[in-house]
Amino acid sequence: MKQNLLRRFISLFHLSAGDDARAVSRSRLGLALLAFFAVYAIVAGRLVMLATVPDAEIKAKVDAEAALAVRRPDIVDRHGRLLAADVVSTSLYAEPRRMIDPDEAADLVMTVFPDLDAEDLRRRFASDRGFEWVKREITPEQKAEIFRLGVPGLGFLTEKRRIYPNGPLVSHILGAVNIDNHGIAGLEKYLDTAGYMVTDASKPKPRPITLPLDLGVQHAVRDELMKSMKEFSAIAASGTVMDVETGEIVALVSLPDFDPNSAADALKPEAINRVNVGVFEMGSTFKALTVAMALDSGRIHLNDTFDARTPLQFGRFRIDDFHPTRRILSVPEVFLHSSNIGTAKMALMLGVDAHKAFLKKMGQLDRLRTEMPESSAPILPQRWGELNTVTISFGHGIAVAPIQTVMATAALVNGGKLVPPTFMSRTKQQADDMSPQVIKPSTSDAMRYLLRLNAEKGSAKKANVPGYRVGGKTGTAEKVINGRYSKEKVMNTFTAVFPTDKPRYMLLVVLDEPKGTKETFGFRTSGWNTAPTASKIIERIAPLLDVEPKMDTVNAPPVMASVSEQLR
Amino acid sequence: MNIARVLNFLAVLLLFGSALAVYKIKYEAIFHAEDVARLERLIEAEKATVVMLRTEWAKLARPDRIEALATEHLGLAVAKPEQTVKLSALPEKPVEVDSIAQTLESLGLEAAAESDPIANAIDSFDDLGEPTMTGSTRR
Repeated sequence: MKQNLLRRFISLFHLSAGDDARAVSRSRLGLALLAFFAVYAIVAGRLVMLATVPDAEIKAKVDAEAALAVRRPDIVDRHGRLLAADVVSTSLYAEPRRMIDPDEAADLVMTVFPDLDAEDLRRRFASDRGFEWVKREITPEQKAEIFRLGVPGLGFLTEKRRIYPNGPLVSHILGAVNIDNHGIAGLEKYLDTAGYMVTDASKPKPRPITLPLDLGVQHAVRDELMKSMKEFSAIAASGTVMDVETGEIVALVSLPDFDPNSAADALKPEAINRVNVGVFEMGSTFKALTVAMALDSGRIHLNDTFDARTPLQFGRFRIDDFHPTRRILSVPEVFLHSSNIGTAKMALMLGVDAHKAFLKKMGQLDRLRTEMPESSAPILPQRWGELNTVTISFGHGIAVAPIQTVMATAALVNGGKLVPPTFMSRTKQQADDMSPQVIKPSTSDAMRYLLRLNAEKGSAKKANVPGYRVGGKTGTAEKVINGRYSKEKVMNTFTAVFPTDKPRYMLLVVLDEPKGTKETFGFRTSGWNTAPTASKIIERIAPLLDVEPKMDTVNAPPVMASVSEQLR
Repeated sequence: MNIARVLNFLAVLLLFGSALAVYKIKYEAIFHAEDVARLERLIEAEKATVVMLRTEWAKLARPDRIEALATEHLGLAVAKPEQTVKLSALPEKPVEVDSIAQTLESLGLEAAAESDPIANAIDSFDDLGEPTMTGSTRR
């Protein structure tokens, strides 16, 4: 059967000699017809395929320059104000292989860009390479001039350039990008790694990223810090505002800073982020942690007293108060007078192990990592004995990054939850879920009371802004120069919380090596420089943060009066 | 007329016609593709302009620039806490009381309170002419 069909098929063509001539030509015509029909069928079929099924290969060939440009998302602050955006810019390139007269080309280019190296340009144009950058990110006027010159072998590529319209106002938080739009510092570097970049040109532009940063608050903090740095001739300063409930950083300023529009400045050594990077002995601001530890243990109460009449002696080390009161102090009085002796005795009562465990719980002994790629590990004593506990209780002998102090102080006032600081948006629910409870809520209430008392009657008086219920703790730490504590160089800190009746924000102000002035009567302690700076900042930022002023609040009850009556 | 010839002639016509149709479709497709590309370029240019304008706006609305301008030209200063007041702290709008009507009622002259002789007199004037303005706007 099959053989029969095959024979019949072949007989159609009748190619063997001796057949009828007409029959042969007819069969050959039939063969030709079949061939053409097959070709047209293939063409028609392919047309149908092309029309219905999209070809991914063709799409990918579009625009070679799109592959160069990394699409970065816009960054806006919490109110939608623009912090960083990509702007289209042109870059000039050369194809030396196709240049007719390289010297003339170099000379003509030099007329538009006189700051380029002429020799280098001539050499590169005379080479045989296929692609050479001439100048990246040129202005539209320069582009028009080069175009008018009509030099063969030059061409333009459009690129994206990152613009930071606020200049140095927001520097460390945003960081910077290099010429290829890759992040090299700050959140820009974080965004690269966290998957916010879009390298595929066919996908739409990524959505803008909203930060918890408030540009108005950032400006107020930076402005006041710059004024204070000038007034007290400090070598550096930093200010951080954090939401105590969510851990969002609302403002972060570290001076000296840089303009993110010039990326090279971002990596200068003096422009480091002094809040996240760089560890310091925080001084008396640490006392808040010691007092909280003492109260939280349940073994010490607010009405307990400590003997601060004589300095503590530890071998050849003498612990004394800065302003010795030479009397017995209650716990609030220890806090208000910032007594080293009282605080040391509190820590000793609890013991070395308990002290260590508490500090570890509060995140002071480990590196604190945030979205910033930069971070520092704290410097801890190699052997931790009683003397270390004593000095650490008032903030010497341990060096931490200021961001750790911010986190710990916030935990003291927000009801006892240790909320890790974040530079990205976070809801209160998310913060609650990720924050461990480190102290009892009652301890947190007591700390709020003590901080408020300190601002009314204690060393933080100059930080008090009427109406905003500010609470705070000063800290004057002598810097270590050549292995010894210097009496002249200090690092001053001030932790402020407002409003203390229901804390919402905390502010940390740091002034590095402030000097005494005529107005401060030559004193350079924290109460004279960082505290007034904090009050000026709070006065400016509280309305921006929707903190309602209450002009008729009752002052903190005078526990001291009742205690001193008991002692009499 | 041979039917085969007619058919042959029609087939040739169809051949040329279909060739023309194909070329027409092809060039129309090219034209549309060029149009689409042109429009897409225009859209990209507009988007780039929008971004440029947004960054320009952001530069001009920088807080330090606005603060400098406000201090210099408007004489504004930092707000004090006493200057911030909540809407709920403002006193309630007093209820409007028509004291004259109340007096008339208490004196028992409700009829007089209801009919306002002066208003009636004014209404009776048919044509008061152009209302004149007080103040110095008319010579």
